[in-house]
Amino acid sequence: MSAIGGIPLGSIAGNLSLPRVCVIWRKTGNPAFDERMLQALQAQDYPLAELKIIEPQDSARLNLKDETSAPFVCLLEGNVLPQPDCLSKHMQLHLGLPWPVAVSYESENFTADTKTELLPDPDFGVSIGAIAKPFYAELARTSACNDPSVQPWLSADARVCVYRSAAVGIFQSSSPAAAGIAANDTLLPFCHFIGGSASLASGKTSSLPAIDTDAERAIRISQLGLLLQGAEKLSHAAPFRYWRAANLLARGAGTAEVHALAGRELPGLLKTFGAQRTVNSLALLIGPRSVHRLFLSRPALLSPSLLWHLGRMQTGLMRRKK
Amino acid sequence: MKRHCSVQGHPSLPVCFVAAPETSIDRPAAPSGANPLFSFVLICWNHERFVADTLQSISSQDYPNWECLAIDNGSTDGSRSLIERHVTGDSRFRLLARPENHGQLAAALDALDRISGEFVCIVDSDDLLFPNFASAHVAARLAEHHRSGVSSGRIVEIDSGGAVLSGAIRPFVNTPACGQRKKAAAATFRAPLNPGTSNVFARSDLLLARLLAPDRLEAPQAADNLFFRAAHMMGGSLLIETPLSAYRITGTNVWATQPAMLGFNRVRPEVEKIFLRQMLEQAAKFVLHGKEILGTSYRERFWPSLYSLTGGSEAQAMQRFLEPPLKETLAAERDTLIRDFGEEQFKRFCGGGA
Repeated sequence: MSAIGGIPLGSIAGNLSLPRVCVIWRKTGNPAFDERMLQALQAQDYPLAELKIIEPQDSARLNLKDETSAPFVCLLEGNVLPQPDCLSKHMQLHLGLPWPVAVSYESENFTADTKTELLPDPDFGVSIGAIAKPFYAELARTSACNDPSVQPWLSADARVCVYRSAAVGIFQSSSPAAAGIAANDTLLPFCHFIGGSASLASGKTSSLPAIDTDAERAIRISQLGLLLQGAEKLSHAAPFRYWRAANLLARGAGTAEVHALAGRELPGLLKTFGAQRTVNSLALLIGPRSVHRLFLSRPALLSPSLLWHLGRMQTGLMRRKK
Repeated sequence: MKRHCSVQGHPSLPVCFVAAPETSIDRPAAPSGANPLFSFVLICWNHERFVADTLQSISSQDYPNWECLAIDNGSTDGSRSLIERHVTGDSRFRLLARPENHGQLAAALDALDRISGEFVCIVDSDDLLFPNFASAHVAARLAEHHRSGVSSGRIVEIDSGGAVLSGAIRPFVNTPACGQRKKAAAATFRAPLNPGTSNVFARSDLLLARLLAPDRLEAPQAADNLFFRAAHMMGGSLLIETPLSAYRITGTNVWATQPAMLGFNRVRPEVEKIFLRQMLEQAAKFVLHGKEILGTSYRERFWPSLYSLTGGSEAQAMQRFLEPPLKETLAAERDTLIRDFGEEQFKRFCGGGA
């Protein structure tokens, strides 16, 4: 029986219930696997799950807001078959955490030794009926919370992710390019950036891996592009975190590409952060001289306040030279 | 300081005390004989859809001695008749119908002279209280050696349909968890702000807090922004680490645009401006009425309390001393403050603005 602080949900005025979860799964086209996946999804013990099956030939882009009104969305990818308690565990994390997070995911790199305190005693929080006490304790032991203020960006190879629809909505509405993106490799880092994440069966996620392939570099550039385009909406997650994430993504992503991206998004950045923060943060991202060149090549953007901050930066540079 | 209080009926209630600025004042705990009267002040404006559930959650309290003043704050939907229907025949409820909506704070201030409970909770008309809300708060308060200004339980977020969105959120809801311990330690200077319906105040503190109310009362001003800060400043906060109420995210909330997420600022920018203005007005009023509020501890607690009311850190306070209306009030009261504290102390605490 699900309860809050030990009180059964049904005995609280207002008809409280657990939230719905919409499970979105794209068929693989392999009939045998698809059949097994369907059975695995039907065997889920979370009582309020709804299933949305996407045919393989359908468009890769999904606007999740149009697909479901459920407050949580689960994206299943790859050839991982979820255990019957998969959704219940994710939802227990979402509802049990003293600090709600935007996304929970299962990481394959299990390192229980880095476990930090996470779930409170079930008698003092929300407990889902499907998770019995011993399993709750196990979940508390093998899960961890990733604070975006400490680690603004993360890279985790996750096939099963449960998102807060609100976080996905913020990301998908942040820029035209982000609209419809519904793949864990992009949604997970962005939702983590917006509101933090919790990992199951993993104590810690790796931060960004060293770039060693062109494919990884391309992913990072595309993520940086989305971040810069969505500045207005995404900066709600705290400006300092926004620029830390941008710096992490820009590291090793290729100077020319970063310049081009920053140049394209200058008006949006100025509007969101104002002249001073934009100039200073871009200076850290691409270097002060490049910031000068970037702005001087766009005279239409130059305002008195912007010129003042550029001048201040120039004076600082000259002083440093002396 | 974290501890468990053991009170009959609540054998292990985890609580945490967050000290007020310079808690040198001796505040005797509430008398622990009979069950003290608990007053709910329900303020409703156009929440016809939810107010019946809220009233029901008050009716279902397992605490025996309570009263509820239900205020219809000039609703234009069917809220008033719905409240009337619900409270008729139950002597614990009273209805106050205000003709116009001047905001939650105006209604709450009006209510203070109409209630007589020792403890008071201002209830939002779309939120829910769990059956043990009043009993847990009273149990925690009666177990204290020194009376806190405010006790605050954890809160669960629900959507408009009653689905639980997140559970047992701790105070400091909009600050990152990484600095949580540090923040709690620094809370001698800053109030941990919990959503409205999770807080319980002593009525005597609210009567003093009324001195800090702005002159012009308007719609978006929330009662807790005044009461929580003032009460925490006066006696610190008692945080009860178990969920006792539910905060509803309807999509039309003035303060919270989204469900809470770690480190995500969900307050609308225009509301943040109102919040800042309200904070500065409170601080300005405190400069004028600090002596009345702090009584004998005025000399040692005035400046830490003013810092607490202006948002926390010393740097922040210094910056806010230069903003109206606080700047004008400090200038006007300069001579009085210098007389009370001496020029050196005045300059030290006011910084560059002195």
